[in-house]
Amino acid sequence: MTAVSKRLTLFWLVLVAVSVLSFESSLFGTRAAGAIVIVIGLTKAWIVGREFMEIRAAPLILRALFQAWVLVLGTALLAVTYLLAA
Amino acid sequence: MTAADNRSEALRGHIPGEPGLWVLIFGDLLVFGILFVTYAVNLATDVTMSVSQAKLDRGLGLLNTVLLLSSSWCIAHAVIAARRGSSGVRQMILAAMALGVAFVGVKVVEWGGHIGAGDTLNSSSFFTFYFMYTGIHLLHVLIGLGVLTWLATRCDTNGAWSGSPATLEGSAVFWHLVDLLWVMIFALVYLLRHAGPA
Repeated sequence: MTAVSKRLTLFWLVLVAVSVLSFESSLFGTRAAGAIVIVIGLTKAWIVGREFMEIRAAPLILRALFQAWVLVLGTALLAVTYLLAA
Repeated sequence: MTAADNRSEALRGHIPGEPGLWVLIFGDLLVFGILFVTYAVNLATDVTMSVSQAKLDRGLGLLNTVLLLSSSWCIAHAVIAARRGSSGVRQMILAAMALGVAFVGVKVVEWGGHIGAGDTLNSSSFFTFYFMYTGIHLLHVLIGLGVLTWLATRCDTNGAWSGSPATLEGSAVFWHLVDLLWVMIFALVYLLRHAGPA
């Protein structure tokens, strides 16, 4: 197994593990639990983009656009969860 | 460091697939980003959403997450195998396809259960979001499976990649996008609940 393959396998394991973790934390239904679910979801999306889609080795413009998508979406989702909840 | 790793290092600054593909990728990310925020606003302001949401089988959502993450791992390894000139490319593509088909199977069972219980596109705000979002995503999965099928036919008789590197890389990027979008749908539609007190 090459170093690249080992790295992908390690991130796959992390993704599966945090999926189970977010599954458990969602049970509480509080704003804090909601924030954890959002942050874990976006972290997983970020890992898929960086590691599987190879954005981490791509030119700066691609890395910056993807980073911006994750940050803007994360900020919007957290703001909605904390500010709009009835 | 192996020769394959050296090739991987040489990829620094490399755009996977064709540059034009990334316009489609970021266009899709932008549209889904708007869809995700729209859903979150509705979930936060409409208490009836959580009543319907409670009917979802979160275990099936988790199963589908693991299936797509594993499928992504397989297609990433197909790209690695192609860069090494290995004969295992078709094998990895077929494994990715099998996991993708399993995802569709789980989705059919899930949809069938909801429709059978009377929860359809028009039955509640939540199920309108649920069927629309998972439906648009399922369309991506089906397109991706079509692309993977085509990729499998582009391997030679030994199972090595015989097309251009950009074609395989670009197709893999699309398949990973399908995975990335599902990861967010799972978090927001299945796991995120109407927030109570902090």
